[in-house]
Amino acid sequence: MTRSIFYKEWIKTRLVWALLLAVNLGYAIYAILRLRYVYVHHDPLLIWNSWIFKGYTFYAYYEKLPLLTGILLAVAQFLPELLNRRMRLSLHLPMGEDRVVAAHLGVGLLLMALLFIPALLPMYAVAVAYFPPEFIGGMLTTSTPWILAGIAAYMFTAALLLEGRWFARIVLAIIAAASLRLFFQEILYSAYERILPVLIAWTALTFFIPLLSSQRFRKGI
Amino acid sequence: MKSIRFTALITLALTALVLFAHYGPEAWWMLFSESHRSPFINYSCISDDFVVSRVGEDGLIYESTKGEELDRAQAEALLPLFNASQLVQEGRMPTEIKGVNIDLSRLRHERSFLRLKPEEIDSSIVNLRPLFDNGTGRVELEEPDDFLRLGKSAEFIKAKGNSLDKGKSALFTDALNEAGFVFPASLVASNPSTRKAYDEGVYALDSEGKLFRIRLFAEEARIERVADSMSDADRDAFAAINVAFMSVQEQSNGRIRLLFLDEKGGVWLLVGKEYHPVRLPLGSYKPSEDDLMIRGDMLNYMATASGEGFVECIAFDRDFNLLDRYEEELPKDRDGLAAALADVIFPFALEFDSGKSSYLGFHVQKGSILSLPFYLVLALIVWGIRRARAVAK
Repeated sequence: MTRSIFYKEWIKTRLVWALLLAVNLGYAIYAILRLRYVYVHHDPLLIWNSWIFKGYTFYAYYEKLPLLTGILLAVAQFLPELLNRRMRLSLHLPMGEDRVVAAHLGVGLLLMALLFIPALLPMYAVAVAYFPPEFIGGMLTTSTPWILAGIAAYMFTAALLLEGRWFARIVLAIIAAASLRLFFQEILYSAYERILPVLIAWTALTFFIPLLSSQRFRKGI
Repeated sequence: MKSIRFTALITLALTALVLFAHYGPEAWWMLFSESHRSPFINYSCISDDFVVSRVGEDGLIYESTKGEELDRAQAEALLPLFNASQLVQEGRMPTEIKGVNIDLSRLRHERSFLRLKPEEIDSSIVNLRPLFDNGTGRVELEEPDDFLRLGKSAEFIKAKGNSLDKGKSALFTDALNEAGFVFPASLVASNPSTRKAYDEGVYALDSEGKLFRIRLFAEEARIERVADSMSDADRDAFAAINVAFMSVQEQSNGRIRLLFLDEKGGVWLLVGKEYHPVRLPLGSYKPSEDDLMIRGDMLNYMATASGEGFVECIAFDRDFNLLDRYEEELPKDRDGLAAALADVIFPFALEFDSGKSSYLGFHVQKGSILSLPFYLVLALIVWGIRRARAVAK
C-alpha cells in the first residue's frame, strides 16, 4: 500500500518536481558559473579576503530557493487532493489515517531530498576545488538552515492545505511565516552554528503538524 | 493517534510561545524605546580633569566633572592635543604643556586609537590570516598570496589554486618548533589590514599558553617568544594570566602592541619593546556586552568603557599610572514605565541576534514576577466572559 502511495504521488507531482529540479539545478549552475566568472576576473586573494572578512559566499544565490521549493512541492502534492476531494478517500485506506498522511509526507521529503542534493552536491564539489576546508564547514552550517526552512515550509504548507477551518489556517500561516523568517537572518557565515541542533529538532517536530491537521480534517473540525 | 496530536499541539504551542517572546518585545521596543546618546568624555592635560560634552537641546554642551559649564572655546583650550588643528588655526595652541614641547608632527605620531566591540570577541571569522612580509623593501605593505593556518602545524594555503605551500609551511613549522612553540595553537590574532602604520605580525598562544610573535621578514621566519623580551617581574606576572582574547594593535608610535582580555574579562595591554603588561582597572566593563575605546596622545592615555546605562573613563599618564577616573550612569534606551510594563506583559523576552556576537543564540531576558498574577487575572477575565456567554445561551 505504501508503495502505491509513493507511485501515486510520483505520478501526480513529477511534472512540478521536474520543473523544481530544473530551477534548483539552474540556480546551482548559475552560482557555479558566477564563481568561475568572479575567479576569472578577480584575484583569488581578493575573493578569499572577501569571504573571510566580509562574508562573501558564492552559494548565497540559493538561499531562498529551498523555501520556495518546499511550498510549491506541498501545493503540488496536496492542493489537487483537496480540490478534487480525493483526500477523504485516501484517509479511508485500510493502512490507517496517520500512516497514509505520513506516507504522503514521506514522499514529499524524499522528493525534496532529490531536489536539494543534486543542487548542493555540485556547489560543494566546486567549493572544494576553490576554497579550503574552512569554507566547506562554513558552507554546511550556513546552508543547513535554508534546507531546514524548506522542509518546515513544506510541512506548514501541507498542514495549511489539510486544515479544514479558516481560522486555524490563518493561525498556522502566521506561525509559519513568523518562524521561517528566523531562518534568514542577515549576518556573517556560520552564524547559525550554535542554534543548529535546536533548529533541526524543531524542523523534525513540524512533521506532526500536518498529521494534526489531517486528524482535524477527517473529523470535520 | 493521541500522541501525534499531543506532539503537534505541544510543538505549535511552544513555537507560538517562542515567537511571542521574540516578536512581542521586538515590536514593543520599536514603539517605545528612546535613544540616549552617550556623552563624549576627554581628559584634559591642562585642568587635569575630564571634560564632558553631551548633546543638549541647543547643541553640544561642555562641562567639567564639577558641573561647571564651559563654552566651546574654553573646552577646546582645555583639550589642546585633541583640538590641535583648530587651536593652531586660531593661534591659541600652546607650544609647551607640562614641560613637553608640542610639536605637531610628533603629536600626530603619538596619537593612538584602539577600539574593541563585543562582536569582535565572539566572532565566527575563520582561522586563516595573511602574514605580511616586512622585508620586501617596499614602503607599503603588500598582501601575500597565501593565508596562514595555525593548527597542528603552520600551514600556508595559496588562494590561487587552493594549494598548500609545503616549503613555506615546513619553514614556519620548523622555526616555531625550534622556538619552543608547542602545537596546536590555542589562540591566534593578527590585523589583516594593509592600511596600518606598520605590521606587528601574528601573535599566537601555543597549547601550553605561551605567547609567541610570528613574523615574515624577507622570506625568513622570525619567531619571538614574547616572555623572553620581558623583564623578570613582568614575565612572572604574565605567566599567571590566562589570555582569553587578543587584538593586535599597530599604532603609529608602536607603543601599545597587543590588547588582550584575561579569562575574567580583565583588560590588559602589552606596551613597548619589553611587552610590559598593563592592566586597565575598569570596574564596570563586561567584554561580552560593552564597548571599549582607548585613546592616547603625547601626554596621556584614556580608556572609555560604555554600555547600556553607563560610561566609565580612566585616565593615565604616559607610563600608565592612573590619574583619574570618571563614571556616569546614563538613562537606558529601554527604561521607565515602558520597561516596567514590558516586564509584566512579557514573562521572558528572547533574542536570537544580540548584536554582541556574530553567532545567533538564545538570549533570554526574564520579566517580572508580576507576569504570573497578570496572566492569571487575564485568564480569569476570559474564562468569565466565556462562562457569561454560555449562561446567556
